[in-house]
Amino acid sequence: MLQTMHGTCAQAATRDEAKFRIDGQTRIPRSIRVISLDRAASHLVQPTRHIRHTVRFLEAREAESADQPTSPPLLRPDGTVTQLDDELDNADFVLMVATAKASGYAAAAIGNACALQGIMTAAIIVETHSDAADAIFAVRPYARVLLVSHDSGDIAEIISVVGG
Amino acid sequence: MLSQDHNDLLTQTGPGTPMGDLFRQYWIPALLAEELSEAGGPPVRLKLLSERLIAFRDKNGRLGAIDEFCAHRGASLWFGNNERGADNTAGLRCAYHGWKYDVAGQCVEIPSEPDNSRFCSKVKLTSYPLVQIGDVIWIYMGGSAVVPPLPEYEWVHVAPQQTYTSKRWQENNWLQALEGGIDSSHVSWLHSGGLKNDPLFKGSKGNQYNLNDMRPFFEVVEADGGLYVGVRRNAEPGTYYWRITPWVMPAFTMVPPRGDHPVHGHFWVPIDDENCWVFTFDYLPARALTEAELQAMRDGHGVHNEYVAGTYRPLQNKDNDYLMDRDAQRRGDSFSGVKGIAIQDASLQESMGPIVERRKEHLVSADSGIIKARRKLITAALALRDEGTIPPGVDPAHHRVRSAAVVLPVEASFLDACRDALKVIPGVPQTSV
Repeated sequence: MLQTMHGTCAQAATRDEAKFRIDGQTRIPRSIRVISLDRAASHLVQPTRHIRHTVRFLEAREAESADQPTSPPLLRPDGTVTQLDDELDNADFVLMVATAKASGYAAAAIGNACALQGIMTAAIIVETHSDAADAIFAVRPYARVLLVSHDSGDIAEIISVVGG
Repeated sequence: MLSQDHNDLLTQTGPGTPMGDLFRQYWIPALLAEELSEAGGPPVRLKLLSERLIAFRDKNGRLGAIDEFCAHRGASLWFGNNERGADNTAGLRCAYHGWKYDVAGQCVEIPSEPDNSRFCSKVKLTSYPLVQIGDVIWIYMGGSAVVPPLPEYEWVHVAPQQTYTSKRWQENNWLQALEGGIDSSHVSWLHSGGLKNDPLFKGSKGNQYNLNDMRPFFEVVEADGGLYVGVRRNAEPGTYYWRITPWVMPAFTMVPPRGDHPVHGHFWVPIDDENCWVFTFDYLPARALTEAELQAMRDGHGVHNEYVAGTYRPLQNKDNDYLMDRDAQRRGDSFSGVKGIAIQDASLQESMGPIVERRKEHLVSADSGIIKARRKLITAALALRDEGTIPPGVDPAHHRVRSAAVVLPVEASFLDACRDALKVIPGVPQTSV
């Protein structure tokens, strides 16, 4: 069979040809939940709350013991309480944010619920002054992508780029 | 001359331009059927109306054209795998990270997401429908709200053994190529050699009329879908030899026939503003093409051409001066020294530059067909832009036209005398001299 025009990649990938790429909307913004796993993480997340209207910001109530219910209640920014199952409805992506103070209980509940519903998960663990090895160990099984960072600015970056 | 503004309006067919919007009202040829003949075969990259696309026939046999580049990282889907999954979902899978798209551009799988993720339903590439009619795969690049009826040009509706289509890449703007198809007066000059020698042209009585009268008269008549351009030359005393070329908007022309030779014509399709595809057909309304005729077409005779191996670029092209032969020119084998009707046209049209500067040209009254065609294109593009008027040539009734070559008494009106000859009547032979 004969090759049609731009039969070689050398022809097809020039700067001149790039102007003919279709400039159209290819995706609908993701519906994102950003869930802080501890109070310190909630403070780090606070500056990002203006980024996208398709993002809901929540804080998992800190665990007091291993006997807590598997689905922890979540706090909205206005202080009202909501349930994990309700918040995951129609979500595409859940970003968990943690510091060294986070435990794995909430991460387990969130990760397991997302796995059941086919929701993509990621976690950012921000190491500030203290070693976050325990938190990393606790969260790792429940996030499909894990970013360990010294820069809390990565939270906004992930929300902005992945959510677009 | 034509103002620069009008030249820009006529020659620019990218997204959002008035002429681009006009072209997006029609089904236009995109590919030859041979390019996507196999379900699950390799995808084909193509550019039409300044949009880069990838076309494929999925493993379930469905055709589609989608944005060439993956929504993920912008890699070309030309490298993709045309596959069908266990769930019978067919599509093109990007070779980079495995994102998979169906023929409508809908993303159906993102492997990095969880198994049961619904996120892929939110990713969709621009897509356009394709349909195969005859030897040609047609595309509609307009909005999806109202898709026009399918093309009814006779050449794609006769039996397969009665028709043959080729295509070639021409390296200039679509309009100057189309204008060559409307302009019948160059035939006696540029193609004079072909009338004598070409196996798909020679031997008809009409050729003698062509060659005996180098100063033809022209009559241009409005048609529902475009124009009829009548050209008359002196024949026997008291008669004229008429050659009638229909132009159907935006870009279809038919060459008047010669004797019992197959009837040919063209569809001129913008690739971008400096390149076009010339879809070239030969067909007969009432008999099969002979093996000799088909072989002549495959060999590049008539209005067809030879190719650079493995491409649709003509073998004779601007990089090799079209293999011009000054000795053949001196001998009169070919008026321009270039072999073959198609490349004789292409060489002269490409020599005008990628987009001819029409403010510098000096048209004459013999160019009335061109003048009128430009006018109709401008009027239709502006009426579409300003009032949403559907342009001529969208209605399939406008496609059912033929060219004709006839000898008529001097007092006869070509349009009245040829009314039936210019209509498609299935199974009835062409009207030819």
